[in-house]
Amino acid sequence: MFLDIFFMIILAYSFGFLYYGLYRNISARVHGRFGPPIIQSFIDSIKLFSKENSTSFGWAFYAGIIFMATGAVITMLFIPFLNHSTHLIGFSQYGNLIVVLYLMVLGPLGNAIGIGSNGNPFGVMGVTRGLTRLIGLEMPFYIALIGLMIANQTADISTIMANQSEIYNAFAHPLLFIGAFISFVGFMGASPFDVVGAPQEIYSGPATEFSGKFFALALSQSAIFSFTKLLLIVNLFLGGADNLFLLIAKTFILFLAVVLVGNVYSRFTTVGSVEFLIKVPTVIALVGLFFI
Amino acid sequence: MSILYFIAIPLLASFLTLFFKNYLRYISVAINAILLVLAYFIIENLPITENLSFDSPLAISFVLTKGSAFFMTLFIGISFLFSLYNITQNSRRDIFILTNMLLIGVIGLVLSGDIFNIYIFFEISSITAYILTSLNRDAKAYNGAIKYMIIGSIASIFLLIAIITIYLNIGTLNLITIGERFGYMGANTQFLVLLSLFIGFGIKTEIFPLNFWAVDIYQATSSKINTLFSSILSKAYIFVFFHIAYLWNVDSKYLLFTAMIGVISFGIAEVSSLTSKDTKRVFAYSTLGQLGVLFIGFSYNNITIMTGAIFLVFMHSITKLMLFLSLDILEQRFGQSSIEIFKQFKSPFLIIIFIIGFLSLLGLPPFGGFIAKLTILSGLAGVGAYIMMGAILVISLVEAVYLFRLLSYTKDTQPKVKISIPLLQKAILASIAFAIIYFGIFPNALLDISQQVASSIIGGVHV
Amino acid sequence: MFNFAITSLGNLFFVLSLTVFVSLWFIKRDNIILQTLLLTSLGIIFYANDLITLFIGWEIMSWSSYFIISGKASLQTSQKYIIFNLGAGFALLGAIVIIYSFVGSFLYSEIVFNKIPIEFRTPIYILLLVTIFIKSAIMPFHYWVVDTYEESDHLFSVILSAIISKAGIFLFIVFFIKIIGYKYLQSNLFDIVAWLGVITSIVASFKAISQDSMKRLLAYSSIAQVGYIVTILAILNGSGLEAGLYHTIIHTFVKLLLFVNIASIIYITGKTKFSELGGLLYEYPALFILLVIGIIGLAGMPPLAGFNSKFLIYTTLLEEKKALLLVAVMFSSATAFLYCYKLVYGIYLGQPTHSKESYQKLPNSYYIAQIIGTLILILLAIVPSLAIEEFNTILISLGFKPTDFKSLFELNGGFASFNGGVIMSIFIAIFIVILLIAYKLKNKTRKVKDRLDISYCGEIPNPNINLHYGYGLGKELSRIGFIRVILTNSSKRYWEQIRVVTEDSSLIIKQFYNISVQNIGLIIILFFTTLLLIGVQ
Repeated sequence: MFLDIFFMIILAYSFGFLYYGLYRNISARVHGRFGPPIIQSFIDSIKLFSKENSTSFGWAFYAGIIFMATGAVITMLFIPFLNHSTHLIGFSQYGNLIVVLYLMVLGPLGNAIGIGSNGNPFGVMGVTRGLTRLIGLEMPFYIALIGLMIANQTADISTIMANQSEIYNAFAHPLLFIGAFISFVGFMGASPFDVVGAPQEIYSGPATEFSGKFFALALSQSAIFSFTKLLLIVNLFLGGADNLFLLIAKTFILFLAVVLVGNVYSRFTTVGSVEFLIKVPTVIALVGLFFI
Repeated sequence: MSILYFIAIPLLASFLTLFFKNYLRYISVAINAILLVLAYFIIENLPITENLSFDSPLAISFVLTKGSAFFMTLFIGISFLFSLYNITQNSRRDIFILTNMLLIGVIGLVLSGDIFNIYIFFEISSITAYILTSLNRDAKAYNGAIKYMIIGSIASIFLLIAIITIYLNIGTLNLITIGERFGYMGANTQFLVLLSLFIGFGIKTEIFPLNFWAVDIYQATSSKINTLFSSILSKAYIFVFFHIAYLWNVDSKYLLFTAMIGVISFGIAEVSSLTSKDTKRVFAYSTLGQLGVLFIGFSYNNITIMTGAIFLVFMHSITKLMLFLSLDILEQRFGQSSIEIFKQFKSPFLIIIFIIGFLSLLGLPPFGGFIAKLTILSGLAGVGAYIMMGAILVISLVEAVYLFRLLSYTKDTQPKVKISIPLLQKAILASIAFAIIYFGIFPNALLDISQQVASSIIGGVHV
Repeated sequence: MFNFAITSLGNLFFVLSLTVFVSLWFIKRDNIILQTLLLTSLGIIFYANDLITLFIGWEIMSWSSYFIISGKASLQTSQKYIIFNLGAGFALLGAIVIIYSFVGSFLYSEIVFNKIPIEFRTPIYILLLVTIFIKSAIMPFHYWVVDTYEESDHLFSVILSAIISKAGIFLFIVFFIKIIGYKYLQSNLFDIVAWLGVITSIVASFKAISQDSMKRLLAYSSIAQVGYIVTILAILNGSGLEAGLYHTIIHTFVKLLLFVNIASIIYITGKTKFSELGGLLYEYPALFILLVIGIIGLAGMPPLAGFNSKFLIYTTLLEEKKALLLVAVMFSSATAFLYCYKLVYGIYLGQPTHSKESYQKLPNSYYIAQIIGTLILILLAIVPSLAIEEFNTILISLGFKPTDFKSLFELNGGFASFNGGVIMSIFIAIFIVILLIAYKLKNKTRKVKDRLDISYCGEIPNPNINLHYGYGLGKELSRIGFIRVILTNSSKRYWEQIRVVTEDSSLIIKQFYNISVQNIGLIIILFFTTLLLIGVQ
């Protein structure tokens, strides 16, 4: 059991960083340059962890970051990695999709508290944007997931995964998938919904005051979290994976799709993204709901 | 024991004013106490009819039924409390005589068994009321008194029209006999009689659209006298009016008409009170409103509704007694009666009295007013008068606005004047408040009495 | 005249109320007569066995709370409070009286609803719903709530939010489930009720975000939360009832915690607005932690018990396949995160906006209520089905099937289940592990001493600049189309119109009572002649 968990964490951590490295590479090629090496993120995080000094703003700052990391890990532990398997499924039999959806918000709350406690107004601006964007993002996403739950008459992720033996949910409920995907792009922090954490916005972004090991923790949890989200969509819409290879392959394909979309589109403002998300993907998902 | 004692004793006692000027206030209490005791003994022998002369069409008759006994006892009780309250004031000849005469007037009204007798006591009570209005002896009081006199005379004229028409067509003045022969008159004559009666009594029972005079009168008179008007006088007229209506088996359309007038009266009174700036006027409007509800309550030939109406008569009379006496304390202290005085006094005792009074007026539990309202509303729903029921509820909401506003004023943070109230007055107010709460929680005895009274009124025949 | 019966439903509500009252009485004991009267009236309502007793308790609750409120609140707010609540009371009286006229008895057990003809049933439902809507602040009847919560005594706001808002819920359960029974209720009307509840939730959540006063934010939050309860009860089945009861408990304790926390801050600093607070985290760490626990409970996040009730609401809606309703509820719930964050940021995080000289020391009694709330949230997080055990008695007494659960640690919502004990333990375990890892990394941490030592676009901020930006959280939301519509409209216009019209007509009508004698006489004569001409054929 503990071995399973340990393995899951390592897996998520490494592949999260790997994908991030790949993202930078692919984006670079799209832009016509070469990009940093794929393992750059690992190097960055090791460097950050080994920095001699980190600035802390007090115990709440410390605790907030730990909270954030806990949130990411615990979310991951409630999603089964593999289909039809007794290994690498974490604690998913004690929870279900609704639990996962709410655990996903736990990390950002810790993040927000950590950022708030350092007193930098730009950090809070980032948090506000993030929370506002969340209102938009979750509409089509939740509609799609609700549709899936009702269609499968269960909220258990393993069951929804297992029910896709004939046809993937992405093709069985295409409109739901499209709606969910558009909002998923935002969840992953890719354009056009990346106003919150985009590099150009970093000064008004959440991570303004993070340094040293705190920043490293933030990056790590971000990696784990991204992988977790990819995993969720793969399990729900793309049929899950019976073994590790399939898992890596499917998550990578999904990730690639997100990256490619992200590279093509320019960035919405916060207000713009909410308005777009409320209109287009929501309507698509709602129509998809009627066909359940 | 004769019914006539109730008329005779106060009448003859009025002559004592020649001898005992300084002890009049005690005599007043004594008279009322004696009358109460007499009432207690005479009630066991109901019904009683007494004719003062031989059975001719012109006979003067007095009848004591459960209905009239109830009202008579109520009036004597209120008068007793009133005189007890005034025991600390100086004796005044005018108040002594006038209160006695007023008492005679109303007792005679409810006890009369023939219509001319009613007219006599109608006049006695009216004239006494006119003079009572002027007691303050200032310009406003005289103004009010003259206004009252003129309008009251109009009422008397209409009553006379009714009496004359009846006598010319039926040939008798006895109420029961009239009731038996009423249907033999032509339809138009019946209508004329009923209409004249309605106008005549309507003016005195302060019903819309005949009550435009009332509010100014209440404002012109001192609060203490207003208790007599509000608690005693208007109730007597209502009882007589409806007693006659049921005795004569009037057409149901007539009662429907009175119910409509009642609800309109209630509504208009409460709405007008919203923006009133004088406490006496506010209380006057409240009285007008409750009289409207009583009109509704008496207009249905249904035991439950009538029971509720009788209960309301009792509760309203004692509540208004308590409220006007409290208002009198404030008026004496501040010399004026605008609603601002509610912001300026400091007396936890008075505030509680006002709270109890207002909540009972609104019909909120656990006070007596609630039981009355509940009974009336249940009865209305029982006969299918849902719109009437809804109207009463909605208009009560309007009533709540200004009553609670007054209560909010007491929490205002202005500098306040402390008011001390002598022990006797406190005791009387407190006992009335206690009664209101008591009958709210243990209403069954009073409900039972009210039901008997109600069936005696509706029954028509003398019971 | 009074008729009482000890029922499990009554016990639940009364114990909740008693707990709140007692934990507040440790802090301050004023208005003791009125508060006792209020508690007694609540007991009368909860243990009533006939309609009249219920009504008596209801009205005493209305006027006793009015007198407590009017001690502190402005005239207009007090008037709004009593008019709306008396309106609710009178609607209730109307419904009771109509029921009585057909059934002939006030006792709950003797009210057989099929004695009431069909055409009267919907009006009765509507009257009852008006009462419930006013009391539970379903829009547009919520007009009295926010000002009342804001202007009353800070500790009384706790009672208002935690208990009195539940009176409407209790009424719903007693009338629609116990007395009338679900089989008589058509789902069309209650579909509308469910939607009204969730729309109230959404609108109130957005309004909460844009408030600058702490109490108003919590007031709107209360409206939103009670909206959930009304929605889920309107689903009309056993799991809906269970979800509603669970949320009632959670909301009571969460609001107890949050309002007392706010009251503590107001006591200490004397300020009630976010724009005047900020950065109190390090001076009052205990209060901060308690508020964070409250926030997690309010937003309904695991691992705390706030999630349990949300979970039950979602599973009920999923079972009944009410997808759109579920989407709306989840939307409102996500919006709640914003005002939850604003609450914690505006007070404790960010930069301080004030000087500390005027601070008072907080008496320890303020912590009692908050700790009670925290303990309940943690307890029910670990053993969520502890509450279900209690509810099963209620469900059985009302004729529903009890929920079975495998263990106390697991919460079974029919459609899905989760294990609260596991979630809580994993959370704590991982937290400790990561904490240890972070601690063990042997590098020094430099603690920042000066609050102004932040990266600020290459400049150095000085103490005069207002750095507490976050209090304005939510202002930018009004740029989004539909939110602007919500935030700029208010029911105030319509209610004020009613008031203005009534007052104007009063001014006009009362002129009649000022006219001179001759005109009065003229009117009387005219009245007489008109009626005479009409009546005489």
